[in-house]
Amino acid sequence: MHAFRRLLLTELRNRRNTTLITLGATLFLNALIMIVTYQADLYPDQLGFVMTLNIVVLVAMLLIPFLHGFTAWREEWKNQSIYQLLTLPVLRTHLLFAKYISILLESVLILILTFASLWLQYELSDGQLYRAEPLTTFDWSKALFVSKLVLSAIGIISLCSLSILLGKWIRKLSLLVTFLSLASGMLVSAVIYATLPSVFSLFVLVVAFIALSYYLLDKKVDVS
Amino acid sequence: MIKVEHAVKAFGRKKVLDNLSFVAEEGQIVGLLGTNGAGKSTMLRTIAGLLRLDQGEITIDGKQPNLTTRAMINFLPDVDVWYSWMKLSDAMKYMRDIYWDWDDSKASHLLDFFELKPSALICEASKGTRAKMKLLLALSRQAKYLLLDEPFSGIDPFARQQIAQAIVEDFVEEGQSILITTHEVSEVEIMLDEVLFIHEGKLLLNGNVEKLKQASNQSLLEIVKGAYELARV
Repeated sequence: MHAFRRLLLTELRNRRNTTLITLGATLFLNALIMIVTYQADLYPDQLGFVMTLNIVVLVAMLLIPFLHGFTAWREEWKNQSIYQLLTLPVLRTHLLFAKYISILLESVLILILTFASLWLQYELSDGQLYRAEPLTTFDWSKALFVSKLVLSAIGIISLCSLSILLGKWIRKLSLLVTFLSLASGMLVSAVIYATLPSVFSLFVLVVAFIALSYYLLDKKVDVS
Repeated sequence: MIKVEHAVKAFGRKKVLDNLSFVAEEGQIVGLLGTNGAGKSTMLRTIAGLLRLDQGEITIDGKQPNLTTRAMINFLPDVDVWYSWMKLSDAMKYMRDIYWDWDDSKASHLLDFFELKPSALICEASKGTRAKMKLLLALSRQAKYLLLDEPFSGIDPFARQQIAQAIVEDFVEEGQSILITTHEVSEVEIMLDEVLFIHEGKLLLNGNVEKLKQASNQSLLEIVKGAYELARV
């Protein structure tokens, strides 16, 4: 457990600066949106524009942890720290989960800031901008929706890892291989989820991506 | 015991290891010598499990490289592997949490011996200081097998022999085996039990250092030079 804790702390420290910049940017952009919300409150027909702004900022900020899904592994080769990582006497799942958790944590921090901003905007617009009731009440369909979102996030992060490890294994044209495997992984996931839209199918996809990443990391990729 | 049997490894068309076989017995210090690009580092990396052989087999105490053998091996590569934000103290904490055989008292002894500061940033240290930091991190473990890839690179000639002697006399545990690659043949000569000289992935010379020296009445450097000249011819 000490080993996993240390790996996780190292991962978090590795991306401390970019996480702080991302969170700072999220805070700044949301502060700007709140100013616009306050002004839009005077002109209620502009509230739709505020909604669009919120979505754009959230998507833009979540792109950063998404990109970390790739750079988290690429940087290990670039910094040559992969020499250290691959010789550690820890399960390869420890290495994978330390990276997944750090990226998920970054996404969660962005979401917390966004939700706080949405709440303040709700107060500023005297309840005109959103309906707060869906956020403050609980039912099982909402729990299911949230678990689907969490599984999707883990699925995307593990697919990013899988794609980069596949590129590192093939070696030749590794970036192209990474891109193609990401695109085909997303396509396969979309087709499977469209055919069987359940939490179970999402769960199976996530497990498959993690298992394949583990296999590549343990049996295929090396430092060359 | 580390056993390498008919190891073959190629990068593209170039064979880096060409049917290489040898055994490193427990408690021995084995020098893996050779010219640049001879395949020394590749050999150590495959033993450490960082590269995979195209053909052949490596076993460590009878087991193929896996989680158990990774715990037995301490590999010191010839590249800088620590993150840019890490101070020596961070790297020591990292090692302490990951390896059960980390020895704090040995680490503090080595800090004094190498005159290093735990608060120093690893990436900002001079090449020689970085080499000493890497040696500290490697020697503070009590791993059964120590794989040292060019450990004296960057260390000034005055300190090399002193450090080599200290490694053997003060910091290596009984029964611990060392596989060391280096160009500094004359400086490691005193510490080696066995020597392996490889050229273009092939094993040219293998044997006990003392026996080889007695048989030819030459220094190790001269013996190795002779083997190299013969291979070139």
